[in-house]
Amino acid sequence: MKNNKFIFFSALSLLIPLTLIFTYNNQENSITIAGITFNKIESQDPFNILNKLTKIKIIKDKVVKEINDIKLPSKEDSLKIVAKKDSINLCNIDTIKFEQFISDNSEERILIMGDSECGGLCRQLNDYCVQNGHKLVLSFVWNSATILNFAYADTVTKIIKKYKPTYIFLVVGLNELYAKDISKRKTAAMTLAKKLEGIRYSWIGPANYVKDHGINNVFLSSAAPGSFFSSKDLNLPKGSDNRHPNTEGYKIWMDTIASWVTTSARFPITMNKPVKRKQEIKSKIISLNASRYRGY
Amino acid sequence: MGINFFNFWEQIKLLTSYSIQSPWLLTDYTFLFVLGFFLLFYAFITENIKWRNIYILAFSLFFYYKSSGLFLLVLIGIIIFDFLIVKFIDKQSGFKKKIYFYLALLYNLSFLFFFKYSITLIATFNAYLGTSFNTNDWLFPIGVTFYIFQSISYLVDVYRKEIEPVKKITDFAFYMTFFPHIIAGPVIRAKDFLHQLYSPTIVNSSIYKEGMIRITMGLIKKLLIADSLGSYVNIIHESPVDFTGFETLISYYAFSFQLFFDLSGYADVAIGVALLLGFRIKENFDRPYLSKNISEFWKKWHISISNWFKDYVYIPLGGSKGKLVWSYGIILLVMLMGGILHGIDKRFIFLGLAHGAAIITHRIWIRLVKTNSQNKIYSLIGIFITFHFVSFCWIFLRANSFSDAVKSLSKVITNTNYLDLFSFSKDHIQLIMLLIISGCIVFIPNKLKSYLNIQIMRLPTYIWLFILLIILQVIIQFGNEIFSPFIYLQF
Repeated sequence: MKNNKFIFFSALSLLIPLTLIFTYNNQENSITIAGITFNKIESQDPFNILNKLTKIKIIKDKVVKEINDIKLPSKEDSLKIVAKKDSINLCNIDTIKFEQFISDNSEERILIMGDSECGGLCRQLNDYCVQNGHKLVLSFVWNSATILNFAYADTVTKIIKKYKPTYIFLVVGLNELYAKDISKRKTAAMTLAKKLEGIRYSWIGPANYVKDHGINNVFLSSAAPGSFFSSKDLNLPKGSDNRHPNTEGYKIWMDTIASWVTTSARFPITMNKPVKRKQEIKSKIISLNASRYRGY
Repeated sequence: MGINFFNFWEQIKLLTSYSIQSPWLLTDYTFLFVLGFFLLFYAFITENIKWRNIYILAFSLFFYYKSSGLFLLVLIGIIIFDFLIVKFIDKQSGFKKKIYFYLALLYNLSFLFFFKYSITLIATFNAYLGTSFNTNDWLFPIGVTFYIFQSISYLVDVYRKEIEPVKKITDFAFYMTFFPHIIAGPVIRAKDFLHQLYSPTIVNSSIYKEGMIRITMGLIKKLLIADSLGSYVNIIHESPVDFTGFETLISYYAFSFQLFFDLSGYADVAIGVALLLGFRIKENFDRPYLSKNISEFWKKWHISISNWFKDYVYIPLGGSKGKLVWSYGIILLVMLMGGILHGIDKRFIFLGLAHGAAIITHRIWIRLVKTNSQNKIYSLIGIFITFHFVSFCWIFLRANSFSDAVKSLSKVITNTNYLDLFSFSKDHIQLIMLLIISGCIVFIPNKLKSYLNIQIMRLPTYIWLFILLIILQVIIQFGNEIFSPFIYLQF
């Protein structure tokens, strides 16, 4: 019986702390004590993962039907408006003329893809999608990835082909702030921009934690004019690793992006501020790690 | 609890299915949660040895399925074949016995070669013959090296009459699949483990505490320290030309500690989980970075694999008994085999040969030079040199290519400005703190370590509930947001 007692206690020693942690993760609110907010671990929480996967099955039939029903806009369908001057101060470039392509679609099929910062932004984007009637079809998070992965792997092409987004948010650059091989990155950025031709997109630069060696300018010059949003000068609250923004930081970041996308982006879409935050993510999240899967 | 009761069965179905993107590891919170339920029921059947073993065996098979999916069938195939062939070989004698033994050995090794080297060989094929076989979607089972090595050790031990073959296939399957060690070792010898299958379960207060300490320390080492150090190492290796010699040198220390904490942390969790089940697995690391020479290092690093090579390759080939040149040749061969165990690549070949050469150099040194191994200064110099040699060699394990590793090394050796330490520390205070903490853990004196162990063991039993909760939350709080996979999964 003595054995049973300590084995039983071992079980409780694992179950009780983990149950508390997972229960906390499922709550909308966070606990803050003495200014320290207790983080959550969505990626480690079995219930959240299971909930997401369950929802995929439930909406699967609905999505299949919608894919068949959807009429994708072509460039010819879009209205063209002559450029607004000085509408892209956030990009730190002087007045530039570009054409804004406004779709007649009120409901966009949005794909967000990028490095680990995309993992934080997609949750905020989900709130915007729910508020504005858009459908977040997929969040593709490729941790530790750089422009090289996105440009040369065929993953991006396959995902676009499968999920048929009408709008793409691309978030990349955090893992190459130190990069000095600018011409190599430029070639890759141009390659990726070519892959995105024909689709409306916004290219979101990294929220720099150090001064970069030119990667932001590479993206700026490679993306379609007016479609690059520079985040390098946003002073966002950072997480414990001092690299990624924290939850509040991601919220501020997304709000800024949304304001720019609505008014100033080359490909504007409606992105009114959400009334309710932390909405349940009903779409799929694909998460890869570049240290395990390079893609090319 | 967060479970939607309406979808309860759906969630159970998903929990029991395999996901290629999130294979189970001992350090997963999901796995630890399920382990808690496992232990809950385990507590009630542990008195009956037969049912205890079957219960653990069933869970081990399930664990391997969650880690490697349908490769479970490969493992089961190996178990069935090895169990039957070993029983058959034990009944043979003379030349026939030898033939069947070598055939069984070849059978096991063929799995190892296929899973480890087929992609490299096909790539070479494609390069030289202009073919275009696509291996991008190929997957391989996790832990194949460890359980093949284990199977071979059982086969050889029975062949040598060191142990009797196991009577029941379920007992052999238990030995092969025991879930704490199957993914990442340690490689367990049948003679050290099998007797525990027939012994009653003993889990008392001190075993419970020891298990919890090992699990907690393992999680801290792997999820907090190793993964955090890994994020800096990854940045450096993402674009090595962009960093100074000093930054690269720091990454060497960071990777040394990362590798040790990754491996030993996982081993700690394995040993801790086994203890909670009432089983004891041997230690796999014995403070290797405190080794005074390279020969001692290989007696303390990944002990189960080192001993495996010693007992099944080095000694059968003659060991140190033959002529000196032959003995040195075998050392080089064994270390080379250890290198290519990671893959057929110039980096790993060089890594193996470098360590082999270092061992030979050390042996020549102790033959020629009389040294006082008790001398503290001599010991400190030995530790310093061994640690740096090993750390600089590890670059060949981490770098993306052999040429990257060579360029990195030459940069560190010829182009490091040590005065950069001040500006580097200012910009990377967290990393420096982490390195200092890592150094304290790795180089802590034995007396202090033992003292701390005794004090921790004195803590009351119920306190471990709170300690684990705090540690798990601290890991979430300060752990790296980018989860780094267990390093050896890639090999």
